[in-house]
Amino acid sequence: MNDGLLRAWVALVPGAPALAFAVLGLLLLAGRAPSERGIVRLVAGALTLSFVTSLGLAGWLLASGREHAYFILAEWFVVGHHTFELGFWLDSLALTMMVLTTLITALIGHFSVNYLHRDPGFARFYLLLALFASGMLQLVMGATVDQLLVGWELVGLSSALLVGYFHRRAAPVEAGLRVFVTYRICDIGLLVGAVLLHEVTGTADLREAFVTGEGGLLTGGLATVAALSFLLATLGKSAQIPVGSWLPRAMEGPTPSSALFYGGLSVHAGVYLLLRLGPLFEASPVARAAVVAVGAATALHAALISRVQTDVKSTLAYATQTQVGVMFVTVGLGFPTVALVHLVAHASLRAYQLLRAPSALLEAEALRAAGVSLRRDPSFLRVVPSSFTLALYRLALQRFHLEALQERLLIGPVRRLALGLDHIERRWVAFLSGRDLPAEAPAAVLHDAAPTEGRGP
Amino acid sequence: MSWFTPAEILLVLWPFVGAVAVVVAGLLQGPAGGHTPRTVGLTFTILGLVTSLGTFATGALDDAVAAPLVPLMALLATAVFLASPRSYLDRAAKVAVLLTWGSTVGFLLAGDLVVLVVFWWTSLLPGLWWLWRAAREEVRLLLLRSYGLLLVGTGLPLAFGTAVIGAAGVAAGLTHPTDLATLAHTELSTGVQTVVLVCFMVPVLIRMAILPFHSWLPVFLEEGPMGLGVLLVGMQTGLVLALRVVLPLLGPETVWMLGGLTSLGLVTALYGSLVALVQQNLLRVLGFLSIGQAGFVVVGLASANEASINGALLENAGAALALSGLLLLVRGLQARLGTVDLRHLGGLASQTPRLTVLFFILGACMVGVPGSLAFVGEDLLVHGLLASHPLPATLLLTTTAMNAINFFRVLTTGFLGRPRAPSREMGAVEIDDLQPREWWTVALLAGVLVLGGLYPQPLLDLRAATVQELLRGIQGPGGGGMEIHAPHPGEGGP
Repeated sequence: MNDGLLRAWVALVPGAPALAFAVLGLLLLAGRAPSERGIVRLVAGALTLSFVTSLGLAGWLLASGREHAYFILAEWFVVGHHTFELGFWLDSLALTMMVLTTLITALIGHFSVNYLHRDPGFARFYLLLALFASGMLQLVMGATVDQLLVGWELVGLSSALLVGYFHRRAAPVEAGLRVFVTYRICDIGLLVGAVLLHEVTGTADLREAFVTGEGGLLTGGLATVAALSFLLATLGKSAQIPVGSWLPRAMEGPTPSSALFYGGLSVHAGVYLLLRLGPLFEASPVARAAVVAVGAATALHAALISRVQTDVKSTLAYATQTQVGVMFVTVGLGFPTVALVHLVAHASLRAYQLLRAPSALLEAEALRAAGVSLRRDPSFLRVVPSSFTLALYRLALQRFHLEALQERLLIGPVRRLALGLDHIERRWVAFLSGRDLPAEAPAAVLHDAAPTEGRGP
Repeated sequence: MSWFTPAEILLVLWPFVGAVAVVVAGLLQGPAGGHTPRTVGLTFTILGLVTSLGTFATGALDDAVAAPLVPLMALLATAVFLASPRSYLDRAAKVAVLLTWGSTVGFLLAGDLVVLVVFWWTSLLPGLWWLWRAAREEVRLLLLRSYGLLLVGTGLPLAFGTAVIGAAGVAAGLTHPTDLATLAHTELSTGVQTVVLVCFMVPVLIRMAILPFHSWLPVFLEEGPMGLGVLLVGMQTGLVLALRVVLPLLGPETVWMLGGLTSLGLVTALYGSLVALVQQNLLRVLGFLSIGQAGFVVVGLASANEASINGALLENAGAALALSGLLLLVRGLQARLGTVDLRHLGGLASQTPRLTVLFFILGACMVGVPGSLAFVGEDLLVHGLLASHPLPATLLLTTTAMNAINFFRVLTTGFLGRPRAPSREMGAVEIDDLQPREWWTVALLAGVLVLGGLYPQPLLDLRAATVQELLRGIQGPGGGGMEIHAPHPGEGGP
């Protein structure tokens, strides 16, 4: 195939939703919002085109016997020795994720037509859907860690905005803020890891850094520091211990976005990152052990909490956390293929379950009304002493106090420090003005979003 | 000696003529008021913007640092005239904005240190005049004292430093000892050089609101005049002073001072983003965010390598434009509601969707969302900083996260959620969304930020030679002193 044609073909996969985002965004900004049908044609059409293109691309690459395709499309900017390149590296991992991403986003795009019909935020939903699709495809197809970072941030932003989709209610807005805060704190890890990777290997190109090793591979202590930094980023996006408490709250968004982000794709971005950076983690036994520990702890923690949930979306959220934790363990133990298969299967199933959740509830109600018992005894608890079961039950209700610990160890001290500095600032200004300024009450930052123990999402 | 060219004289004088025209229009109109002075001022700003863009596009402006800032200054002045609520732009404020604009252009285009210092002073005097004349009684003393610190704290060291350079040049037999073009080649003993550098660094730090000289900025933004606030935040003359005077004066013997600047910048970035987290007044939030961004920029400058300086320049342009736009929006909101206290705001998105959308876009641009100018700046700055200071780079990334969290906090608290009444007495109020003139003005600023972020290369190319020249000066003949980002083996990517 002609090289130029191939480049255009590949660029169309993330380009179609990006173009749909730009067109719809400009139309909305200009106050010329299209009709629902127009929006669906534009965005769902672009997502479908992206899916068909990605499927054709994957098929062509497999049929042509090429193990991977790699090319740099353009340079975004160049300063001295620093170049921000835009390109794609399509190996088996990227191809799998690309097809999965385009498939699920296209399906959600079509599913949401009826679900959000006549909703005031219809256009906003599709705008953010297109942004998410474009970002997620940058993330999984990008040739450089910088490009991966761009995709990662766009996924995070669109995710937080869709959690707060029902913006007239307080709970979704607070949940959106919590999601965003967690993402941004953990994204520091991605930024540090990306910069370390670049500075040590001399390249941001993932293929060069991990496969060809042209710039020298990360080893030893630096590999551990970089890997642990990346691990921090994955903890946020994949809702792992100790920062995963945002996931059940994120279910405040509309069901299609919950299915897309927290069943299907976004929550698996951390697993994808671990798989993509596999060689880095292989170079650091400490980091791999940390991945296993985090995954195992999250799986156990979420499995126990899911048993005391009373609503379907929370149960599914904790079930997702459990499975993603298992994926972390699998990756950490050195079984990337198993983890990838698990990821694809889980993303498909969980997205389906979340989309089906409202209907499933109605069906369950009907079955209960017909006298059918839906209760199942948790068989594994039979081997646990009853006193321990009770303690576990209490702890699970309180979500193992993790959120309170976050408040006490991180959010509280930061807030107190900020308030102390603000107090000093105000005293200085009062001195300048020659009078006392009225003290301001502490800001609601992070406070409003702080969790209430035992409260459901 | 570098004098103004005819085109530059036109660019400098035009706003002053505009100020006179506004005064005359006001006098002719009489006390009844009306739109005439505003229309006159707006006409002058728009024509000034067109002229600035023309001279910039034709390459008539020599200095690569100042060249893009001249049309930017005109753009900001135009934005103030277009988007300010009527109650915030009385005749005195209009005249103050025009005089500040003209003086700042004079400062930007000055080729001589004495002229530069004179215009620095005159760019600050309209603010003092306005505060003296029009500030509210209860905050006038505070404003005058804090703004006075800015004026005196920058003016006196500048005058002293200029005098020392002039005296040293005359003693060395130079014909034009204060010519900026030859400043880098001025021979000064290490001791004198250190004193002169301190004299110029202090005004840079005060004007950029770097810790511990920062307190004037939140006060001025909260209580000072709107138009001058936009110009002060949007045009970082302190940065220009650093690039045109401080960095050229640095040599291998005094390059150690950059370490102190890096520390101050880092502490300021952390402080600004941290204190902004607990502010309730939107104007103070913007003030502290601006302080944090200035710290970021100083760290980039002080890291003194190609990526970091270019990053600092883009970061500064991106953050300053975004903050100016945000300031216009917040003041517009204040004019409608009477308050911008977050405890009394909520659910504004329902009533003012256009304002909310622009607030979101500008806020996202300010915190460096991919696709914005600040994203490119941050990317370059962090990469450049890591080459020389790995630990501060990591800390700096923490501040970017805090800034983003703060932006999202303000968005969710003030614009989303349930609507809240501005005050108990007022109850629920209906407020108007942005008027077309406000919308298009701020949208233009947002458009510049997004287009600049998507296609930043022309901006980077424009200053490439200047930045390299600066770095050569800092490195000295032997190339020692500063660690400059060295290419890694096989480096081809970022």
